[in-house]
Amino acid sequence: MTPELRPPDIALAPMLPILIVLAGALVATVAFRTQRRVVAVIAIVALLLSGFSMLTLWGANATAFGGSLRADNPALGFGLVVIVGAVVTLLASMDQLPRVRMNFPEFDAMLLYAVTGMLLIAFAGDLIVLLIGLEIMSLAGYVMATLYGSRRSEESGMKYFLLGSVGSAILIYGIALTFGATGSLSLAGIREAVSAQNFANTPLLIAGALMMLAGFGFKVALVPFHQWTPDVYHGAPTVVTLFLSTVVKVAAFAGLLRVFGGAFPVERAWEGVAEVLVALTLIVGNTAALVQRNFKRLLAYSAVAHTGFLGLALLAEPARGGAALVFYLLAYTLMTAGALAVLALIQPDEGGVENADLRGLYYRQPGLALALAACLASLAGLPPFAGFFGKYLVFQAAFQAGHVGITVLAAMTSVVALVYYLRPAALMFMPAEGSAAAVRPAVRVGTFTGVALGVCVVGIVLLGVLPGLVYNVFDAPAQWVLASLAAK
Amino acid sequence: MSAFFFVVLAVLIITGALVTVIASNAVHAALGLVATLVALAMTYVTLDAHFLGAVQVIVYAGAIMVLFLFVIMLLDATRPVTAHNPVGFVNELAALGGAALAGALGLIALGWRDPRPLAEGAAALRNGTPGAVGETLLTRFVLPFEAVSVLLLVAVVGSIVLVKRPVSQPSAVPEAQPIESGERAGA
Repeated sequence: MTPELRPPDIALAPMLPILIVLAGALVATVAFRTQRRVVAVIAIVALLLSGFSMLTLWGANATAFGGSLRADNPALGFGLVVIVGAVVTLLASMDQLPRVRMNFPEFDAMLLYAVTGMLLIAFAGDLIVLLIGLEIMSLAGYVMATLYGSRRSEESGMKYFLLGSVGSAILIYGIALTFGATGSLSLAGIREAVSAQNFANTPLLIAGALMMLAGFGFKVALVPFHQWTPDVYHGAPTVVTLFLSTVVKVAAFAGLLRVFGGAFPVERAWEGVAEVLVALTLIVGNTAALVQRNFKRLLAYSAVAHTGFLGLALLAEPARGGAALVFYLLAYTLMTAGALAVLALIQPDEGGVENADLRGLYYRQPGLALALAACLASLAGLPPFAGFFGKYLVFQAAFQAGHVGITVLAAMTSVVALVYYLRPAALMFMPAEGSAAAVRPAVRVGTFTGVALGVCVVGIVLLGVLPGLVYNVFDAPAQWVLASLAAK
Repeated sequence: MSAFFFVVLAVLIITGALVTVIASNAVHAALGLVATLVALAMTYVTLDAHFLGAVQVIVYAGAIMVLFLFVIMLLDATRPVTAHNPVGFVNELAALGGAALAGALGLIALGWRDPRPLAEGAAALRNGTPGAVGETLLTRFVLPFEAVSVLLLVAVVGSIVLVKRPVSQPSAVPEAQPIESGERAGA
């Protein structure tokens, strides 16, 4: 029957970063009898090699599989942020996991599988690859949230699984409707179909876009799809919370930008809805964080609030918003990872610490207190830290795209954020005579945790003082326009 | 004629789906799902996608439904759910939302125009033989095809990790004294 068999367009070079991480994951899966420290070092090496291979692909705009995989600069940028976050997670886990009796290589295996999925999302050139990447990431994430054998951790994993599955289902529905409207699954193909003169299926496309927005909203914790976030982040082991609240969010935002910035450039009817969701996220995330007494839960709500700030970059023109988004994501990853790594060290159990127990931390552990203070100040958006420039860039991008009202709202809510970040930060420097916290023995900071904290703190200071180091690399508007490649 | 078949099958699909959602007995819900899946397979056949129809019956109506029923049997979930529903108001809201969505999609369908000519798709199917599906899978969709194998691997490894809880290795690191948590279950 077949007259000729067209060979598929297979090129492994653009896939190399993904394949290296996958190979690391396979090694970690098989090596369950090996010392966990050895496996973790192998995992770190695999991640670093993958990051290095991304650097070699820089600027090449390589594609493979007929455009299903695109290793263009935005993809590499998001991929590198994912790698940074994953390496910091592994470094922080080295000393922390033995303390919580989670010292097994299965942790590293699931982490590397999750990173494989994330890189697939970042490199995706069509919606099917994006969806599969998202599912790989989510499945590994559900398992990681449940790894600690406590009731709360199990509840956290179950909630994450149920609500995450609903999110995926809505996303798949949206993809199906989008396919029905445009007849194409590849991002470039959708873009072409939407831009065509005689495009007739706008209502169906909008329905599909809104459903995809809701599906992604579950993954990035946009209000009102955020209800799982505090319980999951609070219940999961702290190192896993670190991973889920930073790296998973980076990958989900990479997917969002790919779809909404890349594939739907002309049809921006989703923008009004996205604006309302971002506004709600800013308000709910920031005000709810204000009343939290538990520091871990506060950081969970802070993750919701930051989704709102990151969402601003999405509302902007992709050419400007993309660069701001990558910068903010990198800053957000470093400062959140730093804060959670310190929390993992000082908490008495996996439930986190009460804000009041932070009192006097500086006099017991000056190094940790200073690192945490730097991270909190950066999360609050104070100069000279990276968080300040991140906020500045996304505000600017959203403002220039004409979203004045929501930019003002974001600026106002970031004042609220100042209160809840600086309250624990100030408590650390108050003398703690007589309180129970004062007698808690100081913890030793292990070498790997020290390196992780060093990376975070130096990173946020460096990015805050010299933001151009990263921002200028991504600031070429042309690279954010999805190259129209014949991919049918 | 084909329009008639489509309407009959569509009614079957929707009825089965409603039974799945509304039935309070898990076995009835599973059987409703069977009706939906089989009717969907028949819809594929009416569209000349014979291979897809067969796969739909074998995989979904066959293998997956057997798994469903096994789990229902093993968990002894055949009795109707009578416990108090703490979020009862959600039912009405969900019905309202579902109706609104269905109405919107119905309106959208009226103005829908085929983005690709139907004849093109029908020719690509080559009478629904497996060859057409296989060739597409291994050329145009070879990356998703391979990525799904990673997804399945993650699912297998993840479920083994969850069921057979790994044991924490002893650590020679000095700062590795375990921290006490009162809430650890079992362990």
